[in-house]
Amino acid sequence: MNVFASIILWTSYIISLYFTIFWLIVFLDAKPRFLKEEKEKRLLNKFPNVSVLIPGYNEEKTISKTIHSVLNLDYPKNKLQIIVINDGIKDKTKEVVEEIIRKNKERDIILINQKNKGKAAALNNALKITKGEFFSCLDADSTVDKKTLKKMIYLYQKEDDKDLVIVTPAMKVNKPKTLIQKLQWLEYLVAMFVARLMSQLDCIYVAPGPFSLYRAKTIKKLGGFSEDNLTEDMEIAYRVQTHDYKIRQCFDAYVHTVAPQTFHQLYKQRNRWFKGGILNVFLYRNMFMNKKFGDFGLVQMSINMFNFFLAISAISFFFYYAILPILNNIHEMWLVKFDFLPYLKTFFLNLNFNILSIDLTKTFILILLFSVFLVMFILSHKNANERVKKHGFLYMLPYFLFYYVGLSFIAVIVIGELIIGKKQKW
Amino acid sequence: MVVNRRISREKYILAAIFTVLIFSLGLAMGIILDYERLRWIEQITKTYDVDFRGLQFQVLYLNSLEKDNASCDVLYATLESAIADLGDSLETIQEYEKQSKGKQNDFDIITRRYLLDNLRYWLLVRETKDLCGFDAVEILYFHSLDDCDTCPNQGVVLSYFKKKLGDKLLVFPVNVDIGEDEPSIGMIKRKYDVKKLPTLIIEDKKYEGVIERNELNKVICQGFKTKPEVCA
Repeated sequence: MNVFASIILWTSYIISLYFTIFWLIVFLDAKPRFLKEEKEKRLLNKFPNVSVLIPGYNEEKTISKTIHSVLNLDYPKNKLQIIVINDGIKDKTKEVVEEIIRKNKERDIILINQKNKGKAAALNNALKITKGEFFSCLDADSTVDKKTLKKMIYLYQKEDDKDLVIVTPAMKVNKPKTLIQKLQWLEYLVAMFVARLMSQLDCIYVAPGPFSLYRAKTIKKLGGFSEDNLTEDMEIAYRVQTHDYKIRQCFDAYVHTVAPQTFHQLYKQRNRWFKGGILNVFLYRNMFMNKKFGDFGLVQMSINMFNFFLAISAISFFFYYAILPILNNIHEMWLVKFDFLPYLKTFFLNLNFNILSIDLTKTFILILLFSVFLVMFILSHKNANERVKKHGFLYMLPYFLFYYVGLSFIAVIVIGELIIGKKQKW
Repeated sequence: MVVNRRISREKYILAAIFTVLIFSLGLAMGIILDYERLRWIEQITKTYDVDFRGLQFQVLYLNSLEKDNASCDVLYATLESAIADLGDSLETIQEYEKQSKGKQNDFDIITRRYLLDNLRYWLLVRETKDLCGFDAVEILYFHSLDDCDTCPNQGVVLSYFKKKLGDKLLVFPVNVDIGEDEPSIGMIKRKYDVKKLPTLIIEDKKYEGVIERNELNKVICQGFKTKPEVCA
């Protein structure tokens, strides 16, 4: 194995281990607070006005469900406004929404039609007419739990701080069916847990599209959403952080989102996310290692940059330990003209001796690294109040073995595309 | 109140300490097991040593006392199992060589010993083949891990035949990298005038360069008195 790849691998081992342990320490430190938080009876003194923005493009099938989940929210009806933005919709979405408006005359539902200008423009458009103190966006492919809004508003009330400007939800994958969705189910659970920990250190750098709750006045003051950014929900969070406003996660404000079903859909989504991720890290690079931003600059920005290094490393790892041995085997089989019967005969005999050919030091460090991740993985399930084996164990194998390698492939492609300067719209 | 930016210095340091601890734990465990593995290989070579002495005695006995070769069966059985063990450990040692190339002194001694074992058995086979009329083909395989790109290919083809023919084919690998430490290699190299790698000595004939599967099949088959299935 060549020295360069070796250095990359060991560096990523150590740094991944470091950051994972770091988050575990944050967890241990925050645990008493978490327990207190979970026992709290969350009673609201007052109910501020809230507007829910639903941008939609060709989503006639799901938009009705989305709107109804908002209508069914456990929140005073006269305090809740719904604004659906018809972003150049060519299907029957308009009719579906108008039908809902007709049937719910007592509710405050507004439909805005605009030329297709993208999600950020749609949100900015709607932002002009929101009358709520708070507003949130809900993608037309997501639904929200009945209690979610109350829980989030409670967080605002508890903190009682006008500089708390975003409360982020806890996203779950809605009824995962395909393997790709189940893998994302696990991924989201872990991400949710890490976000809760990030929240402790003021390190949240993305306000997820589905149902993040914003303080309207401040977001308007900051100029609304960036219309030329690939991931406007990440950009707004970075912008809020540079202005030293607060972002908090509400650990059990559940939002259910329909995750991409096929690899192709996932590829398209992640291509946009990763590209947005890189561009935003670059845009806000002055925060990197900047002590003025505390943990956000020192830890979070480093992690955000390291992730792409990790992706490259994962690919080389995969190449050296999976692709190369396979190529080697094919070459060896070719040398003996693909007569593999003698090998099969002695296969089980050899297994015994192959143990001797393993690099034990590397293996042990990998096992320890994996154990630390596993702890994180189990804690994530506890945090989300889900059983580890909810969807069976079988899909965990591809999750641990291939999922992140797959994502790394996408990330590496994205890096490549950015280098050759390929443009893309979301 | 704007964010009160903190730097969790004590968490950074704690995380670093734990990282180093866990990392060293892995490292230490790996090294300990590596050492155990070395001892295990040493054990194997020691067993060979005893086996070999037993064999040597049998040959001596045959040569000096028995003239009717009635004990050849016993000798053959012992030789067979000894060489089967040697063949198994060949793969082990080769795999192990790949990763600990030039790292450990202990390991160098073990490989040297293994090499000598191989050469001793090779001599023994040649000696007893005529005496007892064994029908087997022996190959002396000169190779190097450091400066021979095609040797792994030859190794694959050889172990293929070894798997196919079992104890009818006796392969004795000679790693010339150890040459400087072990004068007996120089001796044998000079006898067969080995200049290229890989070189095979099959039944006293020299073959230079990689021999492909079909060609090697032919060469090996020439050596058998009663042709095995493969040669048909």
